[in-house]
Amino acid sequence: MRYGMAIDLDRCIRCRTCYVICKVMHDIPNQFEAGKKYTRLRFIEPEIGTYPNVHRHFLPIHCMQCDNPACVAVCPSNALTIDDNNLIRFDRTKCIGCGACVEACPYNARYLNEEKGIADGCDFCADRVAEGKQPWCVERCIGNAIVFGDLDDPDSEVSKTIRNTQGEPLSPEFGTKPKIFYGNMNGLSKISGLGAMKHG
Amino acid sequence: MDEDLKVSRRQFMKISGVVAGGAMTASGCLRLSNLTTSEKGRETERGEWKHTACAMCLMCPMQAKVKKGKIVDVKGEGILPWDGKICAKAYGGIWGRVYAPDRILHPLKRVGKRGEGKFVRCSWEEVINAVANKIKKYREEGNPEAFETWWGCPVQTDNMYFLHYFARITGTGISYMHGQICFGDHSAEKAVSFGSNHMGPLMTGCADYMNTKYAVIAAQNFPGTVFAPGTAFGSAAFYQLFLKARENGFQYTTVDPKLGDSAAMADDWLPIKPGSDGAFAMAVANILIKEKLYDEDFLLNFTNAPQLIRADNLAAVKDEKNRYLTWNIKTQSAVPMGAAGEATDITLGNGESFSVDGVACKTALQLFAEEAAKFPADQAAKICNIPYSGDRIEQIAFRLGNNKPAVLFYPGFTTGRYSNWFQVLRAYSTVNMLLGNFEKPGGWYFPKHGFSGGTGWPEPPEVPEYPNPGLKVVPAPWGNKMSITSRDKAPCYSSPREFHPATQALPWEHFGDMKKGKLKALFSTAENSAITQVDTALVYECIDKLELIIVGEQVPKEFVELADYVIPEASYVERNHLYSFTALAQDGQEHAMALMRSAAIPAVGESKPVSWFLTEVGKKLGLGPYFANLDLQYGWWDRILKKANVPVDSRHIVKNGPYVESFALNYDMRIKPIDTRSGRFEMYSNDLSEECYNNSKSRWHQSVYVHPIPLNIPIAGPKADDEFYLVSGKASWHQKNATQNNRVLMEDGIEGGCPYTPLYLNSDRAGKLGLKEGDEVEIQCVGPTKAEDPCVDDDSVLGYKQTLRIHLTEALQPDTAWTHFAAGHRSKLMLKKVTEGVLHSAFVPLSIEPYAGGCGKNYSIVKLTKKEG
Repeated sequence: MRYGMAIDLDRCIRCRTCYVICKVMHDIPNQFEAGKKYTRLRFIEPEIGTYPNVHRHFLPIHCMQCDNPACVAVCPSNALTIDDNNLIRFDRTKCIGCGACVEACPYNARYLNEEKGIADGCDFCADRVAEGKQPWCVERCIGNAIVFGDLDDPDSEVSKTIRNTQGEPLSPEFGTKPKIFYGNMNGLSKISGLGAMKHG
Repeated sequence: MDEDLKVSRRQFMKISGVVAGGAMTASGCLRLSNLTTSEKGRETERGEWKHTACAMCLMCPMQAKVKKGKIVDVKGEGILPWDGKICAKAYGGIWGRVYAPDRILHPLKRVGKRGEGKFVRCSWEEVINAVANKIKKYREEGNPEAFETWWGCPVQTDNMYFLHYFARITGTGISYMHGQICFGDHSAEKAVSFGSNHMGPLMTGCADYMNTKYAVIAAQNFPGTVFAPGTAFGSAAFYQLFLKARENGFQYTTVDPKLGDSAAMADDWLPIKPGSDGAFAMAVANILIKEKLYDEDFLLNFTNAPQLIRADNLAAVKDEKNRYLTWNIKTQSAVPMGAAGEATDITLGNGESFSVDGVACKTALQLFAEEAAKFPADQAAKICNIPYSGDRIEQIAFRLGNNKPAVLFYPGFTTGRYSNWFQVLRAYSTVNMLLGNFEKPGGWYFPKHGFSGGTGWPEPPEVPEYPNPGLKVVPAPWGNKMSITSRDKAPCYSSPREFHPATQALPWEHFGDMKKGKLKALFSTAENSAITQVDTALVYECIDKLELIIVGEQVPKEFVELADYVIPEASYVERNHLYSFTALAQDGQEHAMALMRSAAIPAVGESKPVSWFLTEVGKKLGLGPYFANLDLQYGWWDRILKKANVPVDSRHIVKNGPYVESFALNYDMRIKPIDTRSGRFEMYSNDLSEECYNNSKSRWHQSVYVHPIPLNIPIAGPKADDEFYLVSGKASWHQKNATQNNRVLMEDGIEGGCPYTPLYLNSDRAGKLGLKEGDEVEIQCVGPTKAEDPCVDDDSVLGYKQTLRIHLTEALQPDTAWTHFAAGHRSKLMLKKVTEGVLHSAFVPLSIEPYAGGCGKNYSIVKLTKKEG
């Protein structure tokens, strides 16, 4: 069992529902109350080309739940481990707030909550998955663009979606073996380092 | 100019100066909420799902999970087209508005000067008395209309029908309906071109998208910012239709100065110079006509293309019985133009002229063709500053012509962006007539089913006979009724009509009356109309003259700052309201539905529905019998439901969710009579000719703005290398006023690559001015001036300046400086981030668009200077 995701970029309609549902349901502090920008999910909008031949793409970036995770490798306190379903488990009680995982992640997927003194990041809604439910973003995505399931099962929805949409990992050159596959990338996979892109 | 006006304008400018860069602290009285945003969706397993509706863009039916009196989750209703989904804005509405830490919980009274934003708590009794005493005074003086109610977006406003009832009974006025800055001239244009029976769905873009092959969508951040009650209701539903349509092969071109955040999904982008859209539409029409790509059968049967018009003065020729005429090719004579669907032996007269009683005539189509011929594709491309040759316009025209009728040519929903916009809309409408894309698979569709039940006004014997029984009431927006003598309606019913009755409101009328002291007090609900109207300097100047300002709101904004009293309004999930409409869904059916916004939670703090507040005022005025026994949460809506023949009542809908009846689509142009003067869709407008263009008594006599055949009218523009059109547009996660200052939706992280507050410039154009990403610039309003554009009525905003940062992009037409709509505010009471954007309305002079009533909402020219240091 290897849990992973497929995100079909032709079905992502850029509505931001995934961002908001994640913040609300995981009680991630609001920017205007905490004074900090905390999020488990971020967006990149690469603008390719020059006027007028320009395209603007849109990719949601979660924790990639990598099979060769940089965050697990650098955690000094064993707060980050890999479980039997190949999901990265985070034990808050062991986190010492050093920020090494935040620095190490090439996808900039983790953040340090300065008030709590511990790190945080998307865990594919591990508690919900344990109860047989979908991650919040998957359940609430209006376009049904995000599919979650067992990558080891060739008949699972996620495996079929990856095949049908020519799903590819984002920035495989980082070497972490990410388990989110983006469908209909239309050449974006050729852009080196895209997974690390930041705005602002 | 008198001292009062000078002082007022200085005060407005001063407010701006004080807050720029200043620290953001709300007055203690406004941070009274003990509901923090940390009380969110934990433990969502228990709790009860309740049926209600969102209000953050339109009114998607929504379910709210309530646990111990608090909303802990929201989701869409299971019915189509929502299929259980709701969008980001819905969550923002709950945790960023209903439970905002700075939610206004108590009635407040101003202390200190107007605009300082300093308040103390007061009682509801005090506010009710203050309002009632004012109205009583005006009633005794014989001028009750000196008090007005201004209301906001219909989906946000508490019982808009009741507000009109209140005005009817008390004699007070009602104006500034949000509609004027939303779709005011668009409703007028669609009524002129297509008649009142067809205007609604066409204005909102109601189409059979499941079968549409190709669409040109202009001036709309499509599909994210969509208003289409005839097809769906709000983004959450429309996104799903859009995706299904894409699976079916739907493709579209976005025509816009900016490649919008959502429109970036388009198959191609045609960048266009602001205000030049008329030339583009005429060029497309020219190609369709020259290449005979029009639907001849549709033109002959359902439009007045074959109508005979005098070539000398553009008046319609009529017979002795005053009937419009066409040319019969068998008898070689003019005959009465038949009703829609009757087209035997008549001709489109393309390329011909005729003589009727010695008068040279041409058909409407021929006259339109001559106008369109002035725009060969290459020339239109130059006028529009399109960065391609005219071939690109030809491709679009051929694509439309070859794929008709499963095509759409849509000018965008929102209202008169420029003074010429009515004619732009007319040109777009005529292109659709050429394509014949009505009531056919893939084209425009008019829902055949719906529940229409009137206003819900109580009638005798439930209430006494209305005062002034002889008072004539006329239709007002959204099925409301208004006094014919009201500020916004009297000019629509003069003889000849000065403005079209289907326009929403006439803001210059109430500005004028405020200046003259005829409008002295106002209550504003559900709208931040201090800054949502154009020409902010004029608005502030006028508002400052008022004796009393009451503002109803949930969260602090500019208008709250200006208020004498602030009342805490129950939010959209704390009260009941009925909506009915018909949605086309992804199953290819039309779904007529009646849904209830309902009180999922008790009203927070001391907040109350606005309808309760005005009921109390009504009772205080001694009009108890009209107000005391009204059941505003259920009874009002039951009256409407009963009249609409809905078999369930409002309590049933609140308990069980929307009432829906579903039907297969029925394409048939003959079902609804066309309510124009000719009984046909009009490319030549008989209304414009007879009321305005050829009417010597009309204010608009011989004005190009009311030319009966569509034409392109150039607008004023930038004149120097450092001047730009200032244009605002929407983002899919920020729809309107209601989504502003919403801490859930305003986070930096939600923006992706579309930062909310900077001024956007084309990278190359910025480079030529020596500007880099993130540089600080000052923009100053330099136009349009009265001298440059005859439609400009007030240009108080000339000279207004603001400093802000820029963001460079390739996805923007170079004549344009672009800002997110409502990205900038000046209120000390709001999040600091929102004060970093452009206060757009403060840069827009007030224009009066002849007859249609648009106010030049996007029409602004600015000078840009780099700030050193």
